[in-house]
Amino acid sequence: MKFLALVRYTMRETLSQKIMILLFAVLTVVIGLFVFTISLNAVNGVVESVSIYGSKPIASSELPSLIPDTAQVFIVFIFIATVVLCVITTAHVIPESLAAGTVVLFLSKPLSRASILLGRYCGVVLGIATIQVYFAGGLWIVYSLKTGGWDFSLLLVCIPLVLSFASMFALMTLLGVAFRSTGLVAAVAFVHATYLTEILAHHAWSSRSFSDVSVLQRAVGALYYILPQVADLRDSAVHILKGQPVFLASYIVAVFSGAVMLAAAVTMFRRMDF
Amino acid sequence: MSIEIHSIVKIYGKESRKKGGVRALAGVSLSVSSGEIFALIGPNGAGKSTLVKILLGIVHPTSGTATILDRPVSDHSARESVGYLPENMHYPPLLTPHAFLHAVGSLHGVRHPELSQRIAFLLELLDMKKWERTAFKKFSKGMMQRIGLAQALVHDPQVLFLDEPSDGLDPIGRKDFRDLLKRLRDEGKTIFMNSHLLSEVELVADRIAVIRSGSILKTGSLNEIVPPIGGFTVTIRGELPEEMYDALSIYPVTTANGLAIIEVPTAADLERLQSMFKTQNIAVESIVARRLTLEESFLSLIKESPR
Ligand SMILES: Nc1ncnc2c1ncn2[C@@H]1O[C@H](COP(=O)(O)OP(=O)(O)O)[C@@H](O)[C@H]1O
Ligand SMILES: [Mg+2]
Repeated sequence: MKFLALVRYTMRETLSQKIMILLFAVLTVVIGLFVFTISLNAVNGVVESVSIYGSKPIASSELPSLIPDTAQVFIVFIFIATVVLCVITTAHVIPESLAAGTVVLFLSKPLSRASILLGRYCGVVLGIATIQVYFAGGLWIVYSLKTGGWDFSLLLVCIPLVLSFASMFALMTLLGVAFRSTGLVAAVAFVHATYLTEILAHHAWSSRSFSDVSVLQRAVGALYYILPQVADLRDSAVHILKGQPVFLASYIVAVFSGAVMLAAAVTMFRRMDF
Repeated sequence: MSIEIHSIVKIYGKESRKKGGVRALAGVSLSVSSGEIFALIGPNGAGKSTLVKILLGIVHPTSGTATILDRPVSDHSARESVGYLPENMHYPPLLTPHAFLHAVGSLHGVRHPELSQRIAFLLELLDMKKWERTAFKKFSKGMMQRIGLAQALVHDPQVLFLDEPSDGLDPIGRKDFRDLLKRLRDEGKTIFMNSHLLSEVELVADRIAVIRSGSILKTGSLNEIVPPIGGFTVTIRGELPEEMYDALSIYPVTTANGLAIIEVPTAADLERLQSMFKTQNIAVESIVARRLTLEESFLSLIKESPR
């Protein structure tokens, strides 16, 4: 199918960028470090002690918070490496697809405008998902080998991870169609993924009293629902690793707001002349 | 009819001219049949590219309708059997023709192994085989244009749109290019080309329309559009043999780019030259009747037209 051909082309284009190959290499090195420098002594899948680069083993009972904290550090690292970084490396895709000399290549094909934009969207998201699953999955395999316990539920972290980037890229697609500027898309996406999402999440969860909310607070509340909830999804990934309950609300909101942003982007794209 | 265009109007920007919109097309109607090479000529800014972009769904018409192979151009399936060489195409600098043509072919739904065979055939035809695995960033404008043609033909389309196609091609490339277009026409394909240069289309076009400020001024054969004014321009590839210097000294001769161009005043002179070339075994590149320039005939067309 032609739509799938576009997805495949975009995915290959995304992954064959030099920066992506570099990222793959760095992530592989990180997985390698995990293999060679950290040894876990586990009994029945439960970590008993940890030693880093041949140091004296630290029993996990001596450091009750060690394992959960490590989980948090890992998730934050994975998010920075595969969401924040990838937001910058993919910021050019939509604006450049709509540039005068390139867009004609897509538009002259027997594809609807919706298929063109969504094909580009899906190709990028699948490309980045490949990296995310490679990294999270690689770490999981090493961890499982070391502990001898194959806890498949840990792999569920891939869902908030992929969804975070997917909803970020929906926002970036909308901005890319509206402004056709790589710089603007990169700047907004970076500020959102690193800073704005934290502020919005913080406000949404702390100001629970609806009686005396100001207009500004309402606006912040609305933005929280509209913009990608990267911070919430990341925290949700930590909950998955720690075996804590996961709230589905942020997943539903992320899917819904992503769909709305893509629909808005398609509507705008359909009307444009090039 | 292969292409039918009815009263297409295009106003860019604000949907009316009073509010500051730019009227690029002011009600254009045309039809082009299969097996025809049709050329739209007119100065820069006349609306040629806009018309082709409307036919390809790249620009939306303000009003009017058009069909390609009986399908409305607003429907993306109308582009199934359409090839397009855009005016200014951007080629991903790190991609090679091989990768690029595979991508374009698959976007048209061509599959392996037909796609690989087709690409090999086109690269051979366009003399680009040896550059197949070289990244575009090393290509000249002429090489890009050949790849542009290959990507337009990769799915063997019934209808081909070429926007300013011989831009960047050298004279010899132009000759090959014309031969290719004639071959496609003879296979029953429809070719619609845009140009601001009469010289680019006069040797191939079966029918010509002249466009200016968004309106078609005239449609007809080359002779109807730009009448001959007597005399011929004969082009020969390579050097002229010394034996012919005397015989040719009565005509103005210029040489450029490995071609010799001879201005011949009458049909009788032309006949005499041709028999001479035959006995000397000299290959004639082209013989073109001298005409008014497009600009000169524009002046008379503008005077004729009511506005
Ligand atoms: N995307 C656009 N937005 C606004 N005006 C445009 C656009 N494209 C073309 N025009 C204007 O429309 C007119 C026709 O342009 P064009 O179709 O490119 O002419 P041509 O191909 O004959 O040189 C010109 O005045 C040009 O400035
Ligand atoms: Mg043009």
